[in-house]
Amino acid sequence: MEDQLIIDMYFARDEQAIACTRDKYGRLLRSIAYGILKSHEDSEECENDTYLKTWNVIPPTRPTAFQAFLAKITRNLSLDRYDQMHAAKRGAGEVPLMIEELEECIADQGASATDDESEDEELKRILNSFLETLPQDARKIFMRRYFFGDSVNEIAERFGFGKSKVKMSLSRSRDSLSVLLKKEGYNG
Amino acid sequence: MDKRVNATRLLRAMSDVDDKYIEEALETSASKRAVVTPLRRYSGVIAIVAALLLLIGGGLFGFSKYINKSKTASETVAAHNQAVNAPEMFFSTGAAPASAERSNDTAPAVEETIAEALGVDGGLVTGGEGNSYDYSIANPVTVYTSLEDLEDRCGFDFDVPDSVNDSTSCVYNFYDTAEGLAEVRYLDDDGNVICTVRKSPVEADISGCYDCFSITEKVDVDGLDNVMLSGNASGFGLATWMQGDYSYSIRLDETVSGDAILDLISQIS
Repeated sequence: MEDQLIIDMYFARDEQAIACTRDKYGRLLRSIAYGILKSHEDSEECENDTYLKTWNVIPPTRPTAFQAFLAKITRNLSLDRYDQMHAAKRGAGEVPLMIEELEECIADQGASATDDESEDEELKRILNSFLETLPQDARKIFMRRYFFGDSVNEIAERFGFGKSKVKMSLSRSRDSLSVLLKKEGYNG
Repeated sequence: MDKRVNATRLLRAMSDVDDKYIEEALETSASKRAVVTPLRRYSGVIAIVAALLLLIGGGLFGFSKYINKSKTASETVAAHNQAVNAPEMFFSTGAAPASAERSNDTAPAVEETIAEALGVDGGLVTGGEGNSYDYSIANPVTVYTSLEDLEDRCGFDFDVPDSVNDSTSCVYNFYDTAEGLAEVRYLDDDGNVICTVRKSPVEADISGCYDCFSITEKVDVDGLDNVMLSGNASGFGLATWMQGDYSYSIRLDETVSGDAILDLISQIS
C-alpha cells in the first residue's frame, strides 16, 4: 500500500492505518530499536510506542517521507528508553560505543551542553551540511552506524565491504565532522 | 563530562538529519544491496587469470595447428611458405569456433518467448550469415506456452482453473529457485494480469504479495492446511494455503467474494 494512502487513513482516524503501518514497516522499526536496545521485548514496545506516537501526531503532521518519519520516531523512543534503562551507569550494546566514538569529534575544551533549542537547530544544520559533503558510500556507512546503530560487522556484511574499510571510512568521517564542528564553533 | 554530554547530544541530533539521508541508507538494504560474492571480490584476479589462460590456450591451439601443418608441409615444397604464413593464422578473426555457433533455426522457441516477454532480443547477437552467438545471461524465469511444458519443467502436476473472470489467456512461468516455483498468470484482453496462481514444493508464503490488507481470515477447507484469505471490505484478493508438501497462492487484481475465491482454490491442486 502506498504511504500516502496509509497517511490518509491516519487523517481519517481509521485504526487500520496502524495495522498497515505495522505490516509495511514493522520489521524495519523493530530492527532500528533492536540496534539500540539489543532486546527483542524492549524493541517491540518501542515499535508499539511508535505507532501510538504516529497516531497522535498525524494529523496535523503530514509526513512527506513516511518511512524516514517513522524511523526517526523509533530511534528517539529507543534512545529515550535506553537512557531510562541505563541511567547513571554505562550501558551495554552499541550506544556507549557510538558515544565514545563521537567523543572523538568533540574538542577537549568543548562548550558546555545546554538545552538551548537554537543550538540543537544549529547542530542539525551542521550535521546535514556534513553529510552532504560525504561521498555516498561513506555517508551510508556513517548513517548505518550513527543513525541505525549498526555494528561495524553488520555494516560490512550489509554492503559487502571489508571490516577495515568500514572502520577506515568511519574514522575519516569522524575526522571530517570534527573539523567541521570546530570550524562552526560547536566545540567552543 | 561535557565532552561526553556533547557526544550524546550529537548522537541525538542524528535523529534530525534530512529524511533523504535516512532513505538513502534504507534504499541500499532494500534494492541496491551490494553483495560482494567471492567471485565478485576476486573478479580482477579472475579476469587476469582468464586472460592468461586464453593467451596460453590460443598459443597452444595455434602452435598445434602450426605443427600439424608444418608436418604436412614438410613433405611438400610449400613448407617454408606455410611456416611464414602461420602467424597470420594464429590471429585470424575468421569464423567463430563451431561450438559457439548456433543457427537461428535451432534457437529454442522458449527463448524467443522470453525475449518477446522481456521486449529484448533475448541476448542473441547475430553473427551474420545466419549465425548467431549466444551471450545471454541466465534468466531465472522461463516462460512456457503451455501448462504441459511448465509441468514437465517443474516435475510436478499443476491443476489450475480453465478460466478466471472469463479469461483463458495465460502465461506459464517457471522460477528457477532452489525448489522451483510454477506460476500461471491470467491476462485480460489488454494483456494486464488479472490473476496469478503459484505452486512450489516449499512450506512458505510464495505469493510474493506484500500489499496491505485490512482483513485476514483463516478458513477451514477440506484437505487443505492453513488457508489464509486476505482482502478488504469489498472482498478477497489473496489466498495462500498448503496441500501436502506444496504451498499455493492465488492473487487477484480485483477482489472477489469469499465463495468465489474458495471456488478458485478448489480448482487448484
